[in-house]
Amino acid sequence: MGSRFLTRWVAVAIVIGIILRFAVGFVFTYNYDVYHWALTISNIEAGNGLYDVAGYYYTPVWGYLLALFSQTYGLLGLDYLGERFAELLFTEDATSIFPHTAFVTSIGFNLALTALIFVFDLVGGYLVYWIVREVFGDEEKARWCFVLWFLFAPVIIVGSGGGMFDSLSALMTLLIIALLIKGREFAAGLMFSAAILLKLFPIFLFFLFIAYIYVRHREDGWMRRVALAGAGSILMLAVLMVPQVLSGNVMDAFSFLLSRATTDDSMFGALEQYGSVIVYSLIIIAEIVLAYKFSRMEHPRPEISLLWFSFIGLTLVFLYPSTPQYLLLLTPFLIIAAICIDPLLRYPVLILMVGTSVFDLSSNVMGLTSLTMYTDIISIDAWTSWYSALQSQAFGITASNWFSIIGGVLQYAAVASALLIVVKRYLSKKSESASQWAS
Amino acid sequence: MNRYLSAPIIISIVLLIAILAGEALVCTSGHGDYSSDVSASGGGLDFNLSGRGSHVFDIVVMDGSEDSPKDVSIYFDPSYAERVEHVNVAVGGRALDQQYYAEQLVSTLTMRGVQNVRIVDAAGLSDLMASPGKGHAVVCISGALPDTVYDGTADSDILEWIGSGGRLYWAGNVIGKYVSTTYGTAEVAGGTSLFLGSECIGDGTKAYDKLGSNGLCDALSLLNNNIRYTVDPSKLPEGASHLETGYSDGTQSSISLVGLGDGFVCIFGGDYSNFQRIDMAQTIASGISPSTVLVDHVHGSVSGNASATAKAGEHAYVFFGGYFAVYGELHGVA
Repeated sequence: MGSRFLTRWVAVAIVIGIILRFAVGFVFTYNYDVYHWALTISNIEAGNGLYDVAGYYYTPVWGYLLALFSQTYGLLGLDYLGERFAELLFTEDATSIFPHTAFVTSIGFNLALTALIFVFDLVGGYLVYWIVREVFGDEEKARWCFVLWFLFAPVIIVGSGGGMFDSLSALMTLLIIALLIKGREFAAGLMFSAAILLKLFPIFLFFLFIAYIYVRHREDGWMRRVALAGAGSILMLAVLMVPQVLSGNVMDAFSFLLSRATTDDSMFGALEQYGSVIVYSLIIIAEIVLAYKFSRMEHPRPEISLLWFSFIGLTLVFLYPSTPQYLLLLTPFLIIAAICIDPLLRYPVLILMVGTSVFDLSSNVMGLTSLTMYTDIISIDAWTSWYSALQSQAFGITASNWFSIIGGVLQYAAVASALLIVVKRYLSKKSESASQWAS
Repeated sequence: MNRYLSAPIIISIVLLIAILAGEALVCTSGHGDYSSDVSASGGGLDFNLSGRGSHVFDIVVMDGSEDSPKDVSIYFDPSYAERVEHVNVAVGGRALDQQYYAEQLVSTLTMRGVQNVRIVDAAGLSDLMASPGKGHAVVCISGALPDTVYDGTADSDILEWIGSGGRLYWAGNVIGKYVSTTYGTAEVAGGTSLFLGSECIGDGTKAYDKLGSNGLCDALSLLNNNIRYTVDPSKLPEGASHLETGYSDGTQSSISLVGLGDGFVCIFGGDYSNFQRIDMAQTIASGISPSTVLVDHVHGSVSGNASATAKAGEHAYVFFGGYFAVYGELHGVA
């Protein structure tokens, strides 16, 4: 990384970010997801791949990275991943928005995972800096965007506390955009397939990416470039799916998308199943319209327009309410738009920071189980009394679920308010070009 | 910076290499990465343990256990009715039905060193019963036995087969209560007594403590705390050979083993779950029987040598990974 990036206060921000991440990773780890990563690793190491036995429900890329991760911490001698504690079995019976488990991963494993996700956060942050510097030519704003991303509370909590890899999803989406800006369509295609096989959300920007290549290279072989991107994408898709094709479990790689609503026979389950299909279908139509509009507008600065329209496209995606971690994909685009395009968007940034943090922390004291079971810092009696307090009900809803609801509402308010600001901006600059709209 | 090596290009290359390296590891990892060689030494055993990566190990020395079964036949016949309850699975998980359970059990057993694991239909199960059961194991997770081997009477083939030394591992419903045909299931009055000697299935559903008395729950890193359909030992006939392990509510346990002639029946509590499947594999692979007694348990980090106390006739089950098992192997002590 260049010396211009690493100024003294950026270095201070990085040090603070590291301390916060490892403090969160040490104190607060939501074991339900992290347990599944340990299980996935053991399934891989046992020779059962990602999908031969239950445990891993995502598309394959994160599983591949976990396989490499296991070899890395293995070299450091970390051999104990966790165990199932009888003292916590009762928590598995609780009805909660976030499920509970009596499995408690070891602090060593939690911190190793924190270190891995810290790398994603840092590199993702550098890409935010690189893109802002490249597109807006403003070093100072680029550094601000980096610092905001790197110290953004949900980024720290989701990665270090939740053990979720959504900052990598953001990183890979930023990479696609950076590669498109650099005119590296083949590489962008490779990264696009890798990104959607990590988490599917970047696929919603597919039409916009095609529109950008068209706009940027209208008189410079845009069809050849689209073909190159397509070739890269197909190549990477084929390479990454080889193990699933050979073992005959291609559909299992998409079980998170295909079977998630089939597990609940209730009316809510049916609503989730059909509601999500309808809403996401509408969102795809909106993304196509957005890309079409992009392709028809004039763009004195197409890179700025690409960032602005990517921000709008991802905001539309999260109109369907999501769990906190998914919002990390929108976060860098919201930050860039707030710092470099419309200061009014700083309010949604603030609301998102509070809302998503509260939402993600509402798994409450379950996040303290590693500290409780493996150290003397918290006694099991104290932990049990805290747990009981947060399971007490008000208006038929537990205190921890109230946290989830309040956090979820705030998080949604952030998304909705960001979209309202976009609409307001569009209406006030309707007659102007896209880049004027976005600048 | 070189125009061909801008930051996004370098980051992309490193990231894609990492992903592809991980993919290669997923494709190449397996049972062959691990080994546990054993040799007799004075009054004990010396183990040479090795494996890819870094893992904990457990050596569980038991008296009264069985050798690893020569083969394990998992009964699954979609043309025959089942009698199991639908279970919810984790968000995004594939529905846990009988076929998926059976397919996963094959993998879960194989990684624990159990050889010759296969899925058989009702006719195949009947063929199996034509030979003595000694050294063979059958897994039934359909909640109802097919009419090719069980007709609700004491003359049923499966009862004779167990009596001749066979091991029946059971989950999904009350054992012996239902006969399955291609048309549906029929209830058998007193069917449980044919297998267990009395109507001894308890009323409990879940347990919240490990059964510590025989030490096997901790030693084998057992997981499932569901006790539905398992035995209340106080209701067993006097003198019945039995063993309980896993999690207990003070009356029932999540795993019940009851002797029948020269063989035994092993019941796993609750409706389908991944924990139940893993416990089933661990129980089959470790060779525990109703007369098993834990002799020694050694726990450590896989790095070279370890030793344990054992004498001739006993068995040592070695597994790596603890609650996240990656390898298992049962050794008989000569």
